[in-house]
Amino acid sequence: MLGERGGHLLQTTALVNEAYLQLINAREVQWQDRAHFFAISASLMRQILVHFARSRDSQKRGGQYRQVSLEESAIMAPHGDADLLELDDALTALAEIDPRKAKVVELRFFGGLSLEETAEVLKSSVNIVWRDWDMAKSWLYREMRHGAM
Amino acid sequence: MDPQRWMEIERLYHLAREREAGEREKFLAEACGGDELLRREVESLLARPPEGQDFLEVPALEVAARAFAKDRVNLPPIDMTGRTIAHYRILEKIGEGGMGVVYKARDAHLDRTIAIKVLPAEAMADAERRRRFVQEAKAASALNHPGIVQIYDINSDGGVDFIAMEYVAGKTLDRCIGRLRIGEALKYGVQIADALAVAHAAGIVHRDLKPANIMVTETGLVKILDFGLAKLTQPIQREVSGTVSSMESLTGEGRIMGTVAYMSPEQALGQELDVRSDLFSFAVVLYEMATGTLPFRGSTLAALFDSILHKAPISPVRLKPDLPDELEHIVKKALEKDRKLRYQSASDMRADLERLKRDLDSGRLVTSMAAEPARIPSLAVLPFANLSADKENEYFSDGLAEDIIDALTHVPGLRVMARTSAFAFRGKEQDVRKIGAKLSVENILEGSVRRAGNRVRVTAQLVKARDGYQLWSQRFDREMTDVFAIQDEISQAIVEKLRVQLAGDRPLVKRHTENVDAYHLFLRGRHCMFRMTPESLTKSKEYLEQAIALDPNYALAYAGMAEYYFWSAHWAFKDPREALPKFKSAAMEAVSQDDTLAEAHSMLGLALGPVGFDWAGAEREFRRAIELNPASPIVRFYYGFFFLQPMGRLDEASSQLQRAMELDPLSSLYNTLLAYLYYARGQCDLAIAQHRRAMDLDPSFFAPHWLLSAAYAHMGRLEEAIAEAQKACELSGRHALALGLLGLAYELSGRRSEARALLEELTTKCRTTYVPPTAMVAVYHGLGELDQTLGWLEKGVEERDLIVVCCLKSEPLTIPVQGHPRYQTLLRKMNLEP
Repeated sequence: MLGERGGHLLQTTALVNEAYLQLINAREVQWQDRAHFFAISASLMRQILVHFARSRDSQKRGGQYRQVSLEESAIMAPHGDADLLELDDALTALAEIDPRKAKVVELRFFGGLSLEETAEVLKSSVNIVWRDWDMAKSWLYREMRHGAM
Repeated sequence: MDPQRWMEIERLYHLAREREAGEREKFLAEACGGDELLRREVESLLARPPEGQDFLEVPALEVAARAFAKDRVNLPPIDMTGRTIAHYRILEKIGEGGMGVVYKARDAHLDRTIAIKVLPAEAMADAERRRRFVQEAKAASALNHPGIVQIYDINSDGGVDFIAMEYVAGKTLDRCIGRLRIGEALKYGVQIADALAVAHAAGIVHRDLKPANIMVTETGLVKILDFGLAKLTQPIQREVSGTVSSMESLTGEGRIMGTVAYMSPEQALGQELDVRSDLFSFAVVLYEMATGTLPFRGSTLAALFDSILHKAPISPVRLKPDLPDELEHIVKKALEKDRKLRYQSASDMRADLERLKRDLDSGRLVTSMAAEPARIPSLAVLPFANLSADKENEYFSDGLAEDIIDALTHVPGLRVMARTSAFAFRGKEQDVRKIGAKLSVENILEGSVRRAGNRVRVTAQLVKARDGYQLWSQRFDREMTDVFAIQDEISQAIVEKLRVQLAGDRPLVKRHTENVDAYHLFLRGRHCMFRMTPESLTKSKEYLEQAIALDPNYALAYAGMAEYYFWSAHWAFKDPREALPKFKSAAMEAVSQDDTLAEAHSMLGLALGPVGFDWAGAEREFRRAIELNPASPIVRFYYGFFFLQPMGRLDEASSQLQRAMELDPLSSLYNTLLAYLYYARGQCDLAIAQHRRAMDLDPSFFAPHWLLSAAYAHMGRLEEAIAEAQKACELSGRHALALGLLGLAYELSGRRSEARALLEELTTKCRTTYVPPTAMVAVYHGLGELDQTLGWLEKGVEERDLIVVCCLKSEPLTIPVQGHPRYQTLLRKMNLEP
């Protein structure tokens, strides 16, 4: 899936693996069905990624971050940890207003599920999921934009 | 937020999104009716990032990976070649994976070649982890068995942690999978079981058994790597704090999915592991060795877990029918989700494998598992030879092959030649290699049917076209009532042989009727249909009527009946004014009996389009038909020739016919009418060549001669036009359509009296039988009588002469009248754009 972006593959694999480690440690979880399983893994993936983003973020604030070349920072800037942390906050806020939309984002973005799979997990229709996804993104972008200001 | 308010925002947001960007502002101003806050809220939502900068569209994992790349430099692993650690001189790198880089090295003390695995620095950074690991490795080093790679030393030198172990010349099993014969798979299996039994007896569980951890030497000995070392990758319970170091140990492998695929369900759930977990992983390896595919698969990690935890694997024998059943039992038992139901020890499993191996070796069990190419995508099913005393049974042997073709065309990823093409070889003793080359297929299925009383014996064999090598064969002795079961069995066996995976266990051959006699009558009817002579069509009708009498709900028979009326009208064997209403009701009946039948929907498409002039409705039906069966050549053919052509969409029409011909290249009907489309598009050379091909395919069919005559006439090659038209007259018993073109050719070449004589003959014919306006149009066109030409065109549309209807826009002969207001009116009457 990420083959062409070779350089990131190892790190990504590490993340997948870490997610897996958490999953196998979640022994108290009894999988009810496929949908439940997907829902849990998306939620775990969110926790893990946010956790890493946060720990790296605090390392930097602690002054331990290494030199980043100018080009590198320019290339990577829009997709960094800050985005993930902001997104996590915004998503928590969205869940208070409209839990279903927040769930759609969690499943699609963190769980990597397709529209069809998301609809299956939420026992909803692809149409409704698409509309939720579209509006949730708009809402999140706006929140994150505000947060950045 | 107030839910009411939120719903209102959502409603307006979606309404605004559906509008063009420029119209949104105005829309919102009106819709919000002065509620400024509401308007601003919705507007701010609409101001989202442009496409492409939408970071939520990139999966989170990738976003995180980029973040990683941002603050960590990924040092390339240092190549240790040439260096010496402890008393080991490193010679060359031989592999990477399994938690580190592996080198070939020389032990200076004992003067022997060994292998050194250098562990990533972080793997042992944690003291507790290190202690546990060393403990495990020590235990493993005590194992002394030819099937286990021996550990010599575990140590650290200058900050480099390493394991020294036995050097094995060979390759890992993952490089052999897919090319193993059953004998080899079992030979390796027994050895693996042996090694596991020894390790298990010593209390050591492997935990990460997979083909990448199993070496095969040049002499065919198996050696298992990394016994117990899997603990290195395991987190200390509850330690998921995510220190970077704990992750580092895992990054090198880069094949997490590969590892997970071999995990037992209890491992996936993070439970305590015992020897039975290894036996499960071993069974996964065994399954993969035998079938070439993994039992549990998934495109994402979650899907893979789901498969391991909840799904039963596809039975190995279904994937590879010549595997011994006993192997299936062994694998199935070892892959039980509940470990209490599995083999409880490696030695039990070993005993079963050993027994199976002995039976196979001694020839007590026969299997022909040769190394097959990974993918076999094309197949032709030849008509089954009828060996019965009664030649009448030919319809049954043909029908059997046809139904198999039909079932196989629904299998994705398999190219199946349609019946006409495959059946062109009926009764010709031809070399399969020639047939394969002619149809460009890799495989040929042939068979025979012998019927005696109520018993039938069917044999079928699948051969490789390239060399005639027999891939599979089987004999079926059945009661005649079992005909559906026989078809099912044969289709299923072939499909499995071709390694095409089918979704679920639904039967391949859809039963359109439960009545065996009705089914036989239907087969006879279909057998007669496409000879396209008045006699064969009449016979076809009789059989179909009887089939419907026996099963009044037989949708396919109604569709066949519709087809009969359609073609009777098309060739003017019947007056379309009588035939077409019956055609229409048969088509409707077929759809109402089975709405999922592609054939039925294509008939309805014909009833709506060229007959009903409801072109939009027709397109809907044809699209549905194609959706229901995209691989049906006849559906494409009807859609192209009888819908796209009259609409004037000739390019699309040709490509649909070409599509039909790819699926059925040897149908003389498709070849003829594709040739006609070439002619209509002004590509006369192509048309001539294509007509010649059609004639080769069926020398008794009059239509290619008839239409080739028109092409020659158009090109001014009048002698040839006359010759072809004469040939068409001869073959068709002076069919009116052929006479019409002969008249045209005579007239154009100045043989007026002969042209007049033909007009006379046609006029006389009119009194006794139905003469299609197409024929009259041709003659009058030749005579240059514009008024008569237009009159007969009008009559043709009125009476639904299908040739007039479908060719009105495309036929080059109509060019002289196309500017005439009467022609324009005619098009409008047909609801076609002038």
